[in-house]
Amino acid sequence: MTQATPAPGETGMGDFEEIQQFYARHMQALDAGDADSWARTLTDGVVFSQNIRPAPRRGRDIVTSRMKETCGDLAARGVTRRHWLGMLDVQPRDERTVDARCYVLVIETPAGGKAAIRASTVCSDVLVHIDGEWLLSSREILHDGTP
Amino acid sequence: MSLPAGLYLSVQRFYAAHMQLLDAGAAEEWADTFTEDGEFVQDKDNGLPRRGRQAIADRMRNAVDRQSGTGVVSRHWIGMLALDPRPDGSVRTDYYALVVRTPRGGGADLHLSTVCQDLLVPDTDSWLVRRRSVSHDGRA
Repeated sequence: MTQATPAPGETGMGDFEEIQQFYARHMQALDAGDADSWARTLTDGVVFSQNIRPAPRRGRDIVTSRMKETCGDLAARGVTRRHWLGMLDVQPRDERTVDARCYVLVIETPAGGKAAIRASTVCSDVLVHIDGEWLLSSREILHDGTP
Repeated sequence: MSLPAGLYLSVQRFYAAHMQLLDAGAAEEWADTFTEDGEFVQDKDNGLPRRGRQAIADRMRNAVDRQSGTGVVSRHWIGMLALDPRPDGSVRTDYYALVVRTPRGGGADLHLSTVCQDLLVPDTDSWLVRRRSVSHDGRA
């Protein structure tokens, strides 16, 4: 099957498929508590910010360390968390950078309990393409229903 | 890592058609999207696999018939799909599946969250499931 070559500045179909694959692996690693694999989907200088937190977290090590704490807390409480991403809109910034905005539902199932939607969020991400891989450079998380 | 052109969309389309058959209660047609020697294992069955298309169809027919008596409608949502294509043309998939249930006259509710892994083999311009394993979140 041939694909039309995207015009400069357009996100090609191949890129869009690969970005979906990137997000699948990124969230699977997060939800499995696989910190090493998750860290490999981030740039060195990755920045995470949330509208419900005052200050951003900067740098892969700090962000990954916080992730491990969160995953440990969930495991200790017997809760399985899944991040469901959809409604993905990708807009290229330049040849190797895209803005990716998506909805993310956080679904949690307590041990022996029932799955429920825990949060509805919007993620505004910047992804960069380095050495054949997409990496997360920055993320702003907006929690629906918060001031 | 680059995926072969069109592979991701092809697998997404397969799963959409596959789950619509399941949710429509078309157990036999759904089972035909497994290979003859297909295998289906769920952790809630204590890891006991269903082997072969007929066994898979029979079990799903039982589940469909039980549910149709209750008036509950189930919808399977698939997402977070990641592919691992193999040199022999098969594709290992890792994905999440949610089951949303709506009782007759009632409101839709999230019933179940699962994580799944398949081995798909090419079949003309689509796919067949050679192996599926389903793990239910929250199993105590």
